[in-house]
Amino acid sequence: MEHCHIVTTTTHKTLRGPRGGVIMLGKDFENPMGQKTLKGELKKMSQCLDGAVFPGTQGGPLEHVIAAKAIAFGEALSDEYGDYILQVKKNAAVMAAELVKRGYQIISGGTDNHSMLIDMRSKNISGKDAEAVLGHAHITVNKNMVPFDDKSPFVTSGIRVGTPAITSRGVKENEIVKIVDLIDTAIINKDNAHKLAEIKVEVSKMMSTYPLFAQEALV
Amino acid sequence: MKKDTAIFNLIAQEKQRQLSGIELIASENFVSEQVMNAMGSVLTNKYAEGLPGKRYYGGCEVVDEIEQLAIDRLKKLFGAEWANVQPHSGAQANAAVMLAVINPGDAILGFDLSHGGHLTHGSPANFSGKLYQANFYGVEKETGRVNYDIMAAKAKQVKPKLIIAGASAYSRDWDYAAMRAIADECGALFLLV
Repeated sequence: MEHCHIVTTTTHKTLRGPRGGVIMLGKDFENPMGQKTLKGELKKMSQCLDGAVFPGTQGGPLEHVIAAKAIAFGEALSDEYGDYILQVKKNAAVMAAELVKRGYQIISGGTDNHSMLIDMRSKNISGKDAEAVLGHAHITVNKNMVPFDDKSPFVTSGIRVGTPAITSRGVKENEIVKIVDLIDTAIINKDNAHKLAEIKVEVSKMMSTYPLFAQEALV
Repeated sequence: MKKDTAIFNLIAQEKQRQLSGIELIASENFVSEQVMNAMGSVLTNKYAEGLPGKRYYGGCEVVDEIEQLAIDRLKKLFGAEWANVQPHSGAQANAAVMLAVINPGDAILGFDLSHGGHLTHGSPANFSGKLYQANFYGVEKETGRVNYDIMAAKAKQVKPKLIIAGASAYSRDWDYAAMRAIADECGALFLLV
């Protein structure tokens, strides 16, 4: 926030709110584009941005979503959310390390955040096929281009995985090791429909013990 | 009117899908019950063009309080002086920023989509690549990381009006101070998405 002129973010990913976006300024400042008000005064950057949202690019705001954003921001200001984000990063670090241990190639060698990009070429499977194979085992990931990819954006050489969602369900490091085992077993058995169906049952059994949102206790 | 069982049965199926699988899509999450309750509330009935206290419709006194709470909490959360909570999505937020600070045909410098960037960083399929003259930085093949010296050289060459940081698939921390210095050097604004 201190280094950036303008910051935008979505509200539905790690921030764990409704689907949506926001724009922020660490510090407001006079707009360097020279945009002026009707009175001829130089506009603040905040005025330019407000005008670019409405009427610039949007009509009526979604107040039901804005209320949900307010609630999510309130939750994000809590200590529990701080613990949650630490766990997301711990889980991601363990996942990256466990994948590397099993011969998976992670772009840049690891992760500093909640996500990682895996180059599946070392496992002789495309991103598209890996997404489908894991899908049969009910492990949901998305195919993703890797840097200097030799395949099309529709096929890709990689998959992107992240831990925000499973961490919200209450998954911790020990289960992450198990999840990586399930991923690896599925990829090894990519052509074995029977084995993939078995993994799907195991996944379902494992996840049935977790609620969708683990920190439900509201006071 | 009858309850729409076709849709509600599908919603129940989707809930079961979410409950019984391992969700590893990095951009997804599960929200609390109260976040969902707000989205299914009477607030969806209200028109409120404008900003709290400056609306183009009557009857906005309650939604004004709600939107102001959202703004105040977000500012506190990120230590921001100003915030707008109305963008319908991240892409809409980026569209508004670009509309505000650059003109069609201006050069921008964003993170290559195929290296982990986002569609709104100047992809030819996106408005940002159609309206603006898009240029890209990427990651190094050997390290998989952004090289800020290469970025600086590129900025010097293309003289962007806007430099964009942030990614959809990049697992490393950013050197925001270095990027701000590059932006200052070429007179660009620095946007983090």
